[in-house]
Amino acid sequence: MSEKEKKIPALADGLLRVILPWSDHSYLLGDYEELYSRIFTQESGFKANLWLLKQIIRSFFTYINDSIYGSIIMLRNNFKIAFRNLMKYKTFSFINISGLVLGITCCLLIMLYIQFELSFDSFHEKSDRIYRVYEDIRTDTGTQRVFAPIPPPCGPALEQDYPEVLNAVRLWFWGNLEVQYESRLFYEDGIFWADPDIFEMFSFKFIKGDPETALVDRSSIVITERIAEKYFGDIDPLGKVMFLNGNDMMVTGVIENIPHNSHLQFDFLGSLNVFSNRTGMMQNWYSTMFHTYIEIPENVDPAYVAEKIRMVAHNYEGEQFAEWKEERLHFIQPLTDVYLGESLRFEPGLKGSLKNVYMLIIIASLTLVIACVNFMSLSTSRSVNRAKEVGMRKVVGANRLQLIRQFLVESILITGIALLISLGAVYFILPYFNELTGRNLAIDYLGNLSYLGGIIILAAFIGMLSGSYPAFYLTSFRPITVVRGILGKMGQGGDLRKSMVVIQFGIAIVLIISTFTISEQIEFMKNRSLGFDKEQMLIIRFKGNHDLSQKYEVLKETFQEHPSIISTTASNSIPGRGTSNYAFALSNEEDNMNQSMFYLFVEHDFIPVYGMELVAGRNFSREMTTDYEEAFIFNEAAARAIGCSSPEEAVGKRMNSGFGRDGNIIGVVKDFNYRSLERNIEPLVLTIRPGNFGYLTLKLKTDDIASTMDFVNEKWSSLYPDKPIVYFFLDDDFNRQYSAEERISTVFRVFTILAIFIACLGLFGLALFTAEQRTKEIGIRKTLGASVSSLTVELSMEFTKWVIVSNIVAWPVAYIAMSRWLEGFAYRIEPDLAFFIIASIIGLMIALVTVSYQSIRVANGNPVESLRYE
Amino acid sequence: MRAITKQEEQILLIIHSLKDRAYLVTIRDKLMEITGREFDVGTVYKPLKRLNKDGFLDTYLGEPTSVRGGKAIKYYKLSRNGIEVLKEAKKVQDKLWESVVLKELKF
Repeated sequence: MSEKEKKIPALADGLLRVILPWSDHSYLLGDYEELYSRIFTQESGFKANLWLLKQIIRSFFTYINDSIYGSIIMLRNNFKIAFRNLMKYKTFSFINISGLVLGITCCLLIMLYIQFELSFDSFHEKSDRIYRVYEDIRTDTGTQRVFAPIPPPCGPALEQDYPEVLNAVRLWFWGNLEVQYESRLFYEDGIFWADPDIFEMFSFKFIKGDPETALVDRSSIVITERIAEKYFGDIDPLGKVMFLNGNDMMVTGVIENIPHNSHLQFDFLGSLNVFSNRTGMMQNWYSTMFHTYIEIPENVDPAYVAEKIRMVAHNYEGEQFAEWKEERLHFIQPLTDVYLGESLRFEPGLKGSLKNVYMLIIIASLTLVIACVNFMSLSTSRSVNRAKEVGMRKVVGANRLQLIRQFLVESILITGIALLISLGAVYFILPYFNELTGRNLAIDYLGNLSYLGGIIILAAFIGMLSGSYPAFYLTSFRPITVVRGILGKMGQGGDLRKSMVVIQFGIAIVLIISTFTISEQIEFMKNRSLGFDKEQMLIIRFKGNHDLSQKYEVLKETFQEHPSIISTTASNSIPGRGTSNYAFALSNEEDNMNQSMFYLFVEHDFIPVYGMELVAGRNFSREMTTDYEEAFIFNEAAARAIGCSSPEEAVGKRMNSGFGRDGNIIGVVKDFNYRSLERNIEPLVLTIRPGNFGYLTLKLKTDDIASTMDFVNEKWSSLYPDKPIVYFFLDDDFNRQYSAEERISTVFRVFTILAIFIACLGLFGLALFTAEQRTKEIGIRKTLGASVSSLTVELSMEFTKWVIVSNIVAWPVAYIAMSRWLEGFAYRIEPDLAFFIIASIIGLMIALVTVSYQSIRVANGNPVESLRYE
Repeated sequence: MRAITKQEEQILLIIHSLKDRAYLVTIRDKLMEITGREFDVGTVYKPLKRLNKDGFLDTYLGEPTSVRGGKAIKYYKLSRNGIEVLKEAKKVQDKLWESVVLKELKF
């Protein structure tokens, strides 16, 4: 039996090393070895192993007390040395910490943001049992429309017909409405009408009033704290009567302001019972009006409920739907998915963007990766400095585990400091971040333990990750070589540093390309010709009075007195704001094809005022009296939808409309984008119907807008002295649809700049270090006649060339990412090669500027200085 | 100077008798031989360390040997205090046993 086999098995050796006290570590190991080999030779290997096992198990607790004590002492020592190193290499520490601070701050902010986005509607106690019902209308021609609101009778039907539906609450959303209390009159936006049992389902907190009875009475209304203050001040609002929608409504409750993370945002909650006598509307299974939420029991599978209620509408109106060759299905989605889920038609409230959440996660991780890479590359590049220390420690008996621990402690200390600074920074930056993202985030570290825990785990993870490479790499040196000073100069770890520069600048270039592409897409959407004029169009909102419908001609003349107001028109809606849709059917057709189309109720001159182009037929005419009652103008998409191969073919066809009007198609207007360019143009019908007008459009001359606005204000106050005017410009209003994209674009820009900055910090550190290392070499080369310029170029190129290489990685990644992003838009630009080239040049220039400072400094250095001590 | 336990007394005596060959392995062997009981390495190490800390024992290092995997030996020897405390223990012991005749010691 050879000597070697008598040694303690490696596993047992490792175990012993862990549990034995540091102070007598090696003697005790020796004792064990001696005893082990004695038993081995005297008895057998098996007996020896058995003995050892028994020893380890039985002595475990004897030793472990000492070990823990020893570890704490060691750890204190680790920290002391780590801190000394931190202070000794100030530039290095500064670069490292500031890079990490930036990275972690970004991460923290974005974590806050994401946590907020994911928390939507979860504050309701029953949030996991509440589902929203939505309607999916499918025709046999393959079109599909998904609506957030559903027909009024659907909610009660669900509650009655299915035992699994414990409760169904309907909400009817009304925008802009005049509200009056005594002398106070305002336009209010967030008005909902709701079933009385709404508070049984949703946990909106009552300050005054009784949730159970608050909305039972048909003329009762519940208001938020904010509104109570606005209208009543210090007076108790309970029992007071407010005038809205032509009704006197009595305040029966005051609730807390709606939390920011509720997708339903409202200030007034009226009783839906006020409409109960409008049976025609309340029994109408064809119109999608009420946002409906249901509550299901805890132990029931939602998929089962969904399957069961799918055909609820067909139980009542199946015959009619069959005749229309339609299926009107009802599906459910969890309340907490509504906010981030796919956007349906006529969403009632706030809508988030899952895409934006993903993009933010990606940006945050990328920034953090850049910061970590900084750390790793700088640590390894310092290896020459640290190598001697490592060598000495090894010589005096440190084992590798101890050294690794030392390095990990150092990196954790650095991340810890960075984390603390970041936590403070977040506090100050949060208001600006809120402005940037349009959110209302608050920070409460102690009240949010999961977040705090997450942060600490994150920091420990960053510390371990960025510390692990230097730790393992540096401790692998053989002491004999380092102490003798033979450490392979700069060669070691050089490849790693180069690949890190590639990674960092690759990421930076991807971000630059993305920033360009996103801004360009937004610009494209804003500036693209939409098929109508949106510049210089002043829109005045009429709501709550019917003057626009009844006295349009008078208003038109009044406003056109001013020379700068070229023309006027009126409509029920305007491009960029929603319209509803109705079923349209061709008359005299055997198959009676039924098409759901959007409609716009307009004045005669809507099309010319908006500068739209007719491709076939004629515009509405004042001379033709029939135009008032029975004329439709289709857009091209609508003409295609009824099966016409050319616009001309559609003209003259007779149609039945879902709102009870029959008429001829007199013209076809060229497709125009009446909704955001994210969406395709869908069938639209224009017809004259003054009863529903809500918007007066004034087309202005470009000169002297201010005096025109004064004139408009003046006219309005003489016409309606007691009513505030609500007006806006069409282009502003239309572009508001892109606010989510604009936000993400701004966020991207900010984070790109940050990421580049962090990458530059790292590169600067590397350049600084390399320059230091090569001072002597440069000195010798200069004495031998090398020119300053050639040396500068050579030094600068050392890292810059890797920035060029990083393009190879960055371009395909950026191309794929941006193509995916652009797919979300119906009208989009192609990723432009120019952006790629510009981004690369920017990356290169920044890198060059960063390193050239050091290069020039070193290349200009006086050889006498650098060689003096040789 | 604190009093010592019976086990510590035994160990000190063994170290004294082992002279310059007293280290953990030999101490443990002797202890097992005299008492006839099995001792874990840890159980012997613990009082040794304690006695050393309290100043009854001095240590010095020996040469590493191959049988110990190249690790040095830590030898123990009695310090002045160690000798004093043993003398003290012996005195107490003798006094206690003075009047006892072993033959009469039965129940």
